[in-house]
Amino acid sequence: MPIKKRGTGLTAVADAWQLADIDVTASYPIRPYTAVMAEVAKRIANGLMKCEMVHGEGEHAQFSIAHGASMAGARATTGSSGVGVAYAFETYSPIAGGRCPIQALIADRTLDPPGDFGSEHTECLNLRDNGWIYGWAENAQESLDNSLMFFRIGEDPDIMLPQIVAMDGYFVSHIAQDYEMPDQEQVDKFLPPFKPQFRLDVNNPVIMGPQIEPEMGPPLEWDRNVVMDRVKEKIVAVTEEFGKIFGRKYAPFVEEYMTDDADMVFLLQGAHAVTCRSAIRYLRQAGYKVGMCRLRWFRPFPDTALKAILPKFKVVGVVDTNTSYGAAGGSGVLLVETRASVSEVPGKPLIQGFTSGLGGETITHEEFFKMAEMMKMTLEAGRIIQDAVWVNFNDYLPAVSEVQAAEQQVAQTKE
Amino acid sequence: MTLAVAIDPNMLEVTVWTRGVTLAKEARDTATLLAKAGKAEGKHVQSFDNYVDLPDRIGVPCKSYARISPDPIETFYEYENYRPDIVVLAEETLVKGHNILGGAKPGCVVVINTARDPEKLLKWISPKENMKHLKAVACIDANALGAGVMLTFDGTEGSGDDTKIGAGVGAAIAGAVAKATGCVKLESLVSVAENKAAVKQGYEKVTVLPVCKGEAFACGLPEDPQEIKWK
Repeated sequence: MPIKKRGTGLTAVADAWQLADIDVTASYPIRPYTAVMAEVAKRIANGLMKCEMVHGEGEHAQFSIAHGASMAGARATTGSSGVGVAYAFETYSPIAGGRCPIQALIADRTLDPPGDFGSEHTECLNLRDNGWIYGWAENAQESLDNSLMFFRIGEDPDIMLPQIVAMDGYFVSHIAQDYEMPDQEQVDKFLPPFKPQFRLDVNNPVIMGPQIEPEMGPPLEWDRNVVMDRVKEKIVAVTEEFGKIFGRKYAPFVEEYMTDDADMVFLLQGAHAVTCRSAIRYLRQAGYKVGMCRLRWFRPFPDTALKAILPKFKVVGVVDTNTSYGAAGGSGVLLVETRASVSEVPGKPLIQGFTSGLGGETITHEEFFKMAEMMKMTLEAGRIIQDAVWVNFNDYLPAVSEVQAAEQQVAQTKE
Repeated sequence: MTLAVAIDPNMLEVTVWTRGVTLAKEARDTATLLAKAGKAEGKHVQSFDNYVDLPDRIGVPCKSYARISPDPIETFYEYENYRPDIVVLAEETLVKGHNILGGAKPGCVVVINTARDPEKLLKWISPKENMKHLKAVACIDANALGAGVMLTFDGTEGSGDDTKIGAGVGAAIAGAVAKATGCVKLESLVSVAENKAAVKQGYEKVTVLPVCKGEAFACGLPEDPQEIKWK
């Protein structure tokens, strides 16, 4: 029987790792990741989990340990936050290129300066080009479910890629909430044991990650590129199978909320979707035809899904909880990827960038109201009024009356 | 703000101020107990530590929060209680130098763990412009109740707390809060606390001073003078 629990995203992922019967976990403390390692250590001590726990001397070592364990055929996990994720940067491409399907839990934290504990997606997005597959969970239940689904997708013999179970630090990682820990029997049915075709074995020696000649590079990279398309097919199949076995049905790529008759939508990922949904209910009562699209995956980026979904709307407000200084559009990474996804689609909507929730600040109801108001102005103007909006810093609310006055003047002179 | 709606208008916000490491666990217990008691009464609840307070430093001021609401909580992912209805000080010196009434809603009640009389502490409460919202100051000498001050190391950090909830002074303080504010019933608090005697003692021994316009008894005695006990 599944167990009803009250816990955090971190205890939920520890539950998933327990159910997945992981062989090795590599740890190094940093807030907010730390608690998952405390949970796993406790469960090993209490006999709930049988797993080798190796403490690295830093995050670079931590990810390298998991890498090595995976090459030896272990189902290995690790994880980190903020600057810890950055410190391990060198290891990401070798792990993905070596097709070692380890799982990392990343509970987001801002990068320094100046040293802040709050959630920002920047550190995790920084490694977007390294061939890992990942997406954000919005609550404890989804982080548990994602962990199981990601193992299944990443360890598939056709895929063999490392995964990141990403969650917003503090919001998902620390705030206690109700969730369900699935039954072991269900998990065993869903997730077969990890049996890689090749592994380090003294009796059957193989070489992993050798030095190669230049002409051997392109085919290797082509293969890493092609596999990302296969991941998309696998995501669809696995998400559906997960729903059948566990009874929780997720949209494979983009969750839509109140989009049926919406003119404008928020597009975001992660924990802020929870407040966004609540804000939308108030906005609807006030007559705003607004909805939400929440991305469940960032890599592979769900561009095919967005091509089909976004032309339904007139204005899309992309909420970036990350920084990409100097990026096209002056906002964050999500804006760039979203615009690129639909840039060649006929009837594409106006795509407005918003930067909000930095430093781990909650995006409040009032801020969503404000963004909706700005999107409405864009809708009425029929064009982007102002790019690169950082909410509360350069909102175009006060500027809009001036813009309208100027436009009226122009219209009059034309008459 | 473009849309004037009150979010979570019926939610009761409890902020427990405490000292890092030495009393952090007790304050978290007070908040957890109040939330659990509210849950036992069928309410929607949350309790959590302030994430940015660095509670792993000894003696540093830090906060734990509880939220009790008849409706589902919509500001679920908001970090802090910005508009407290109840402010609890797990240790008396916190009354000095901290804006404990910051954002306080009208009718706010302050509960302090102290051997002093409420009137002695009233003058330290700040910010002064929010004194008009203060309905009462309640004092409980939880440390003297025999429940024992438990020195615990804070560190759940999002993992489960395997220690007993409400074994030490945090339980007595929670009892005092229940009496002084009526936010939860004594029975529900007793049902969830480890040290049930401490909860009851806190409930019985609390001293409540009604405050009006920032001054003690400025609006006269309450209807039921039995509610007020002087040492």
